[in-house]
Amino acid sequence: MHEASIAKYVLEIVQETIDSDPCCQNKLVKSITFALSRPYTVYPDSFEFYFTELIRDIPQICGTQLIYIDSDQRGFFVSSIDFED
Amino acid sequence: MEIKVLKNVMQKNSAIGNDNRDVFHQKGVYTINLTSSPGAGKTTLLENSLPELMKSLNIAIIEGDPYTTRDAERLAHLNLPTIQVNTEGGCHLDAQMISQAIGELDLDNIDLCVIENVGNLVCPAAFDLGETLRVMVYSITEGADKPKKYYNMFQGSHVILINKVELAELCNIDLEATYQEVREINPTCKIFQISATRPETLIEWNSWLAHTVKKAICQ
Ligand SMILES: Nc1nc2c(ncn2[C@@H]2O[C@H](COP(=O)(O)OP(=O)(O)OP(=O)(O)O)[C@@H](O)[C@H]2O)c(=O)[nH]1
Ligand SMILES: [Mg+2]
Repeated sequence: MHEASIAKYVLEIVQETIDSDPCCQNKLVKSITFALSRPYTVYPDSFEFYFTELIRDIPQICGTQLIYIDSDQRGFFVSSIDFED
Repeated sequence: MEIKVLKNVMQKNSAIGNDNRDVFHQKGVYTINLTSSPGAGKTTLLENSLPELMKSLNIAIIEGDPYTTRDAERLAHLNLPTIQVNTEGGCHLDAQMISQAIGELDLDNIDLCVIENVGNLVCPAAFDLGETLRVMVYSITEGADKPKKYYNMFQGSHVILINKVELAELCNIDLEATYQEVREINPTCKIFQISATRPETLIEWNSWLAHTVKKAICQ
């Protein structure tokens, strides 16, 4: 259940990224890529449940695809954000 | 257009935790993050410790609970400033929840802020709240094998209160061996053996905490 906190922090990171780059401000978020290490301490299914709930009313983000890649580095990282061109 | 971010999500919590710590420090407030498994005796400890600590310290409580206000109701007769934080099923408090709660407290008039975390031996270990001291209640009725199973929690605590010790024999627990296992995992923590339901077993803990808080806030 700690995925609820994680989802909140991810949304903050996405919003900070958008705010810090004028090129991103009016562009739709196509995908967010996460890097995570095994054994998982964050479960993608559970994370997505909370994250989808949080972004439901945010038009710029609500249609985003969530992509997960395995990483050797311990933790759960927002690796990159892909915006529409 | 791809933007590289490469941000560790948990560092977000740590950053807010550090901000909370700064605020508490500036206001001269000592903070305890009280953790344990469900039912290990956190609220019972507060029921029987706070009346003594209140004699010399101004205390506030932040009560973490998945859904209810039950623990806060048990402490209501103490008439202490209390902020209820319901996690809506979430398994731990996080730094942002504490940051919001801080805004509702009159920190200028508080010496000690006690945060009762949600009962869980896994997740709270990963979420720094900005506390001065992490205090864990370990009930021996859960079994002597817990320290190594829940290593992070035992290892990351500054104080471990081994609780319900009067039930040791009934539960087939060798208290000395349990103490040694806790010590092996965490060689530097302070350890007290208590029965939270019996105030006479809390004298040493109460006086150590009152002394530690006063020393810290006078600096
Ligand atoms: N025999 C005995 N019972 C205790 C002791 N400490 C707590 N209890 C009992 O353990 C039960 C749970 O205690 P609580 O204080 O509610 O535990 P908690 O950690 O606050 O529980 P949550 O907030 O739900 O996680 C209660 O019935 C207490 O009376 C003790 O030292 N000895
Ligand atoms: Mg409780």
